[in-house]
Amino acid sequence: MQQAVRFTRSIAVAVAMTLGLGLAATSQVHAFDSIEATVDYRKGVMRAIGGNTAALAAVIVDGADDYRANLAIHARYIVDMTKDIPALFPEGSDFGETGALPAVWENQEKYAELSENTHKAAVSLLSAIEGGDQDLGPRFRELGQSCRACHDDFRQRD
Amino acid sequence: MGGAKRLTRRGPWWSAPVLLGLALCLPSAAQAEHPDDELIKRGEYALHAAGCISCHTKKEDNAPFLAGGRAIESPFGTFYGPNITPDKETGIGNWSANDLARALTEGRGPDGRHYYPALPYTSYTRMKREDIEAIWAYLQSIEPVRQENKPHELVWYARFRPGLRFWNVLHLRPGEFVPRESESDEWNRGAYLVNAMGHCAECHTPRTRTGGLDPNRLFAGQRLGDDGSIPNITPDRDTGIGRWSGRHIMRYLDMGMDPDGDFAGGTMAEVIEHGTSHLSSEDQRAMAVYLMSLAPIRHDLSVPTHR
Repeated sequence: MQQAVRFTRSIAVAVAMTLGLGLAATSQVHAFDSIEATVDYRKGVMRAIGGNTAALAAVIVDGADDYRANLAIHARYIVDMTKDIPALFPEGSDFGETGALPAVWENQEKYAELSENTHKAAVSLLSAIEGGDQDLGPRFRELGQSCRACHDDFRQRD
Repeated sequence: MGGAKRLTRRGPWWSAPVLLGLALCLPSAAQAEHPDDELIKRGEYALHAAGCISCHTKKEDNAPFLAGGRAIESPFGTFYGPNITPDKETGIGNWSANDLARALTEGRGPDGRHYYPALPYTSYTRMKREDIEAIWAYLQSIEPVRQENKPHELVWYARFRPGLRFWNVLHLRPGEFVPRESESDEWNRGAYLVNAMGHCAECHTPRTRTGGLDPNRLFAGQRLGDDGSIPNITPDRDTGIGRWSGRHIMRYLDMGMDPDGDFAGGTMAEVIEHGTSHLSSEDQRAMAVYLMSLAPIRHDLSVPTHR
């Protein structure tokens, strides 16, 4: 009888421990997943910025004039999503499938400054588009230059 | 306004024509003082085309132009780009045009010592004498900066400079660029810009065990250990840039944007910033024409999409 009680107790302890460990492991997986999701989100946004930039180039530089009316849509996306680029790179999102260099977190001031330059360049392009400016090339160039300036020091080579 | 009126009223009748005459003379007087302006301008263009700036200027805000100090990492240690301003003591102020030609085409200093191939003389050896002379004229025209050269920090077996003589036997094929008669002027201009000036192959080609360019995989990119890889720029559709049009290549050289709207980073961002973005669109087009004419080489570097 006593043996049965002891056996039941050890089973209970084992179950509790397994559950406990399992729970801890689950929450770790969740934490890991959420960082992965952060990196995925960031990459998605960056790709979308790239896609909108490619669309802008096709119209502004290469003359796909049929889509001139869409220019503001593309530029506005870039304006909106560059408002706070550093927020896409929270602490702890510096591992896994990211091309971000440690400099993003080590030199946050410079990173914020270069991000701000990109935002300003996007705002200036959008206002030129909305103002009906026909010569958008130089402003588009400035936007591109700001992307490159940041990738120079803050993203792995590719 | 009032001042101008007073001056007109007070000045003698002949003052206007004389002043006008003087003003007309001034530009030609200035031209006579600097007969080499045109040459210097060509030299500045050639300096951009040859990509000299990023290795010879420190990578920091307001770094003195071309005064050296830039760290260049390599498997053999860290090289520091030297001062090439016309400062007589720390730069190249005591050099002649021939000294520069020797450095660029033979990899030797005025005192005869060997330079390391971190200076891409294996490519520059194809440079035309007229471009070297233009670069020389430009380098003499810039501000001399007194800044001592920083000694290279190399692994022990790379410190013995005379050993480079043997390296050169293996890897240096001296001689100016020879145009191919069967190809167009544009192709030849592109070949010259890519090979002699831009020295693209120096990074975009895997190296052999002795540190030379692998002749079978020219422009097919190289892996850099943990540091990622340098892309294959042959027109292979799967592993190179075979899906890029000439327009895409030109835009990349001009502003660093690839067909996906992504922008170059790292070393290539600097090559574009200080080099290819300064070239005329004709020259960018010539480079694209040449690159698109290369034989496609399949060389998978499995570059992940970095964001």
